[in-house]
Amino acid sequence: MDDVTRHPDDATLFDLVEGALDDARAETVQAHLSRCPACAAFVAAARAGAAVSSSAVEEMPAEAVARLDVTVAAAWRDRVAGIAAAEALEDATPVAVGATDVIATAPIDADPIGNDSRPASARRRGVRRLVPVLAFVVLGTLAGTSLYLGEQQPKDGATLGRGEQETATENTAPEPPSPSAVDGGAIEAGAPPVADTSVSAGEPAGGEEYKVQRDVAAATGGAMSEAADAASSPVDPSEPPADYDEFVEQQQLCLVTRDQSQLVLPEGRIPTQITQGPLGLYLVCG
Amino acid sequence: MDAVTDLELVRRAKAGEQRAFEELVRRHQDRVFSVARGVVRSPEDAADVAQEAFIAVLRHLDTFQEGAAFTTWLHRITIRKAYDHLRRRVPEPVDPGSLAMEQLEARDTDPFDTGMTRTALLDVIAALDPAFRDAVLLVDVAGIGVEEAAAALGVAPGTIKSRVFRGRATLARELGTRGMGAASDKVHDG
Repeated sequence: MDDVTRHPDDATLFDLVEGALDDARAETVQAHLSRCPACAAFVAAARAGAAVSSSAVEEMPAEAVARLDVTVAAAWRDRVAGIAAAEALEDATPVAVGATDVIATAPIDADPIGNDSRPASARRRGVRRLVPVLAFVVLGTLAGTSLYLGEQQPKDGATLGRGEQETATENTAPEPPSPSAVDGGAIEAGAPPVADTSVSAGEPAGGEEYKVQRDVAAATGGAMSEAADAASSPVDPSEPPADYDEFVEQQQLCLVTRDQSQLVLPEGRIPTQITQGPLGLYLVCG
Repeated sequence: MDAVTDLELVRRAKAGEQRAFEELVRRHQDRVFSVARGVVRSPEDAADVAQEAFIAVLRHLDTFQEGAAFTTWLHRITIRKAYDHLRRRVPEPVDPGSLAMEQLEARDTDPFDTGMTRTALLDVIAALDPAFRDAVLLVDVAGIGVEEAAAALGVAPGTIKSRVFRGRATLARELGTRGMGAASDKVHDG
């Protein structure tokens, strides 16, 4: 049996006032109160306070309600406009056919696209991140830059053969490619397949699969105009580097195609220029 | 609309139904205003805080996870917005003399027989120790449960119980000290 001489703690007294104690415990506490004036007074005050505080809800003044209604309506319009603008951007920008297939098969750590349990708005944000990257590459293609998505062997010192480059140029039509159609030398035109940049990164394996990914939505959008204004190229594509990763770091490259199915973006890079070299497509970062 | 739960209204609002969000606002505006009033004291400031809280809820509606209680989230935001408001200004101290006069004048129009108007009662609550005050505001004024209040304030449920208990007792003693009538008479044996 509980010791009735011990003062119950505040939480126990709260439960007593709220009627939340079991019968045995309540009896023990009541027995203590009957012999402890201090605790009894404390409980009495708390009961009185509870009776009053629960009635302290105050009506919001009418003029404040009117102001609140106006503000909420305006905020709702902003919310709707923001969602509509985002959806319009998604609809207006071409997306590569087969990009979803690439995304679904890319070695991502997060939920696959098909089972995305994120809220609709988060999924839209994920798609929106793809769109500026795709748009950037499309514009680069239209500007006459050759896209080269073939397998390269930097260690062997191989460079693009002229025939492969010509083939690449011929295929730079702004039609979305199918990644399965890409062979060792040909280029799939238009927006190349892009991995979902909103998911976590994989680990580069020996410099071949460089799958660091990032969110480029705002950065790429701003970089579109910057790319057009870029005056110089820090990249010397004539000599392939011994160390791929070091090369990327030194040349401040932010987008390099190593694998025909993916474009990759090192962390924190903003593209300013597009060019090509022995390792494939380069987006040079400012 | 009253039979619809908060969660259902949130779902509808997320889906684009403006009327659902407006119903959420209507349903909770008085308690949000009162909780804010208990912290910032001024009715004008409390109205501003309430507005900021609802706008914040609207802007972050998509982040609300349905496993949580909407009222917990709403009042957590309200408390934070109220403290943000306090940090932006120095609150005016309550003059006990003027407070007592307001209560005497309002006694005849007190529908709840508390010996004071609800406006003055919030002023007394607002003058409590902040830890007690916030707990009393959430549990008694906002009407959310102990677990929800604990989640909103980031403390253990036992801590909320202790703070509410002491806050209520202190409130009653303050009302008794100020001679505010009926509250001090509402004593029930434990």
